[in-house]
Amino acid sequence: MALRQRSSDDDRCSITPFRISADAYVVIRLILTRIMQIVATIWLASSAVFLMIHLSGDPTQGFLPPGVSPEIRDQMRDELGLNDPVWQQYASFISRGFIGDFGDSWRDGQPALNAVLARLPATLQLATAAILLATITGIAYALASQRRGWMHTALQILPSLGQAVPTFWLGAMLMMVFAVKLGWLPSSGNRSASALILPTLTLALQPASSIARLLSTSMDDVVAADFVRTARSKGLGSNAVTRRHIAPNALLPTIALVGLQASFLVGGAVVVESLFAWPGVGRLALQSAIARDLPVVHAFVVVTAIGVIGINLLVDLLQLAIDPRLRSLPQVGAVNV
Amino acid sequence: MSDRRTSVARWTGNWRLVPLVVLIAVLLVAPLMMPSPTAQSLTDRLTPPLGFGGQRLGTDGLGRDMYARLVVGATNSLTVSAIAATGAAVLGVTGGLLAGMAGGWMDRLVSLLVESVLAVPFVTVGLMVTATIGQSTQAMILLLIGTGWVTYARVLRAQARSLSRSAFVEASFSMGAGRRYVALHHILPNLLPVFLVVYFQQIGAMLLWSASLTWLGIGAPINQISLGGIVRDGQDLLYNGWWVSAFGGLTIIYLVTALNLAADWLRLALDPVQKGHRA
Repeated sequence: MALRQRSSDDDRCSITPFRISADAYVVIRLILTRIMQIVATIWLASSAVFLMIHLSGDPTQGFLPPGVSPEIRDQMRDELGLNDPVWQQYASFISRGFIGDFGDSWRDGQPALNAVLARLPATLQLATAAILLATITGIAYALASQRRGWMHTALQILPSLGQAVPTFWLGAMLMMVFAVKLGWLPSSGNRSASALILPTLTLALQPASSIARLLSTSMDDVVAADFVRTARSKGLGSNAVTRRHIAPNALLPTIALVGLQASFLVGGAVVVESLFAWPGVGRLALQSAIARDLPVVHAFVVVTAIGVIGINLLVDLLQLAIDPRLRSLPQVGAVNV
Repeated sequence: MSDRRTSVARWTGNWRLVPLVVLIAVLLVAPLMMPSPTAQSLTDRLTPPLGFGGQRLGTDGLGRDMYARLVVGATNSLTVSAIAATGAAVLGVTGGLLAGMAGGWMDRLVSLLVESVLAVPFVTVGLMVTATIGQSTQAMILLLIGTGWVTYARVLRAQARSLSRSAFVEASFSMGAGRRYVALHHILPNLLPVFLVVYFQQIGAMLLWSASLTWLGIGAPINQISLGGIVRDGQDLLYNGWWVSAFGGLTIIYLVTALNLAADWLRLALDPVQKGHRA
C-alpha cells in the first residue's frame, strides 16, 4: 500500500481522539467496515444453520442408524447439548461459530472445519487459474475490440453471449467433446496438470465475458470524456493519453467487478467441481448438503464468506491506491455498493 | 435533421426485441400441436433429431419427445424466473429507495445487509436449504428472491442518491416543494427506466441461477420439467444422446440472450439522451 503520508494540518482528522492522517483514517475505516461485515455474515449464517438444525427435526436421526435404542439416542442428545434450553443452545452455537468450532461432521466424525480446510488448496488452485485466465482474456478482448463502427458492435456480441452460457452446460459440452469423443483430456480428478484445463476453461468463461463487456463499455465512456479531450488538446501523445488517462479510469469499474466475481466464483466452483469430480470444497459442500451433514455445510459457508470478504477488502485497497479521489471522500466503504 | 436520424436509429434498434417476441409466440402456439412431454416410449428412446436420422428434436433416454419437453421446460423455467425477479424487485426497490433517499443509519443498515448477502454465494444458501427441507420449487423461489433483491437495492440506491443531489431536485426544493412531492414527482419517475432494464436482466439471471440449482440437484424437484433438469438428464447420455443436454443448454442460452437483448432495447428506447451526446 503506497499511500502517501501527508502532514499538513488540513488533512488531519479531528473526529478521532488520535491525530492521524486522512489516508490512514480512510484505510482503518475500510478495514473496520469489512470486519463488521464478517461478524454480521458469520452471525447470519450461523443463525440460519441453527434454525435449520432445529427445523429439520431430531438431528440425531442424521447420524445414528434407524434401529438404535432410545437410551443411546437420548445419551447422544445429552452429549450434543440438545436437551438444554433453546436460547442457551443458540448462544453457545453462535459463539462456537465465531471461534471456528462448527462441531464434528455427522458423516465421518472429524472436525467440520478441518474437512473444509483440507479441501481448500484444490479449490484455490482452480479458482486462481480461472480468475487469471478470465482477467487476461477479458482485458485482451476489450482492448482488441476497440474498433469504430459496426465492427465494434459485432465484437460486443461474443461477451454478451458468453454471459448467457450456463457454467454446468459448458462443462458438460467440453467434457463430451474433449474427454468423451476425442479423448484428449481427462474428464475428472486433479491427478495430472492436463486435468486442470477443462475445469479452468469452464469456470473462466462467465467472469471473462463480464470483464470484457464492462471494460469495453467503460473504455467507450472514458474515451469520450472531457479530460481525455483536454489531454489530447494539450498535445499529449496517443500512448501517453491511454496510459495516464484512459487506462486508470477505465479499469476502476473492472476492479470492482473482480471483487463481485469472487462470490460468483464460489458458486461456479460448486458446479465445476461436482461436474469434473475435482476434490475441492465445492464438491465437499454439495455432497455434505445432499447427505444433510450440516456442520460441514456451516463451516463451508463461513470459510467462503470470509474469503470473499477478504478479497473485497483487497479490492477496496487496490481502488484506493489507483483512485486518489476516494481517499478524501468520507464514505469509502460505500463506493462499490 | 436530427428527428429523422433518431427515428431511424430507434427503428433499427428494434431487432433487439425480435428474439423475445419469437420466443413468446412459440411458447404460446407450440403446446397446441405437440406430443405429450411426459409420455414414455422405450422403443423410441434416444431417437436422434431431424437431420441426424430422426425427427423433430429427437427423444430423451425414456423416449419422451424433446421438443415438447423443451417447450414445457422453457415455460416452467421462465415462470419461476419471472416470479422470483418480481418478488426480488418488490424487496430490492423498497430497500434501495429507503437507503438512497433516507440516508443515515437506514442507508448503513441496508448497505451492510447487501454486502453480507453478496458475501454468501447463493449456491451455498441453496445447499443449506436443501440439507434441511430437501428440494422444492417454492424454497428455490424464496432463495432466488433472498439473493436477487440486492441487485435492485444496489442500483436503485445509487440512482436515488445521485438524483436527490441533482440540480433539478434542488431547484424543486428551492421553489418550496416538500420531500414527498419531490420523491413522487421527480425521483420515482426517473428511476423507472433503470428499474425496467434491471428487471429484464434479472429474469435472465434468475433463469441461469435456477437452472444451476436444479442441475446440482438442489433446485426444482425431479418430477417438474425444467431446462436445468433436462441438461441434467442428458448428463449420463453424453456419449449416445448428446442432443438432450445440448438442446437443453442452447434453449437456456437463447432465453437469457433474448431477455438481455430486450433489456438493451428498453435502455435505448427509454434513454432520452442519445449515445454520443452524453455530457
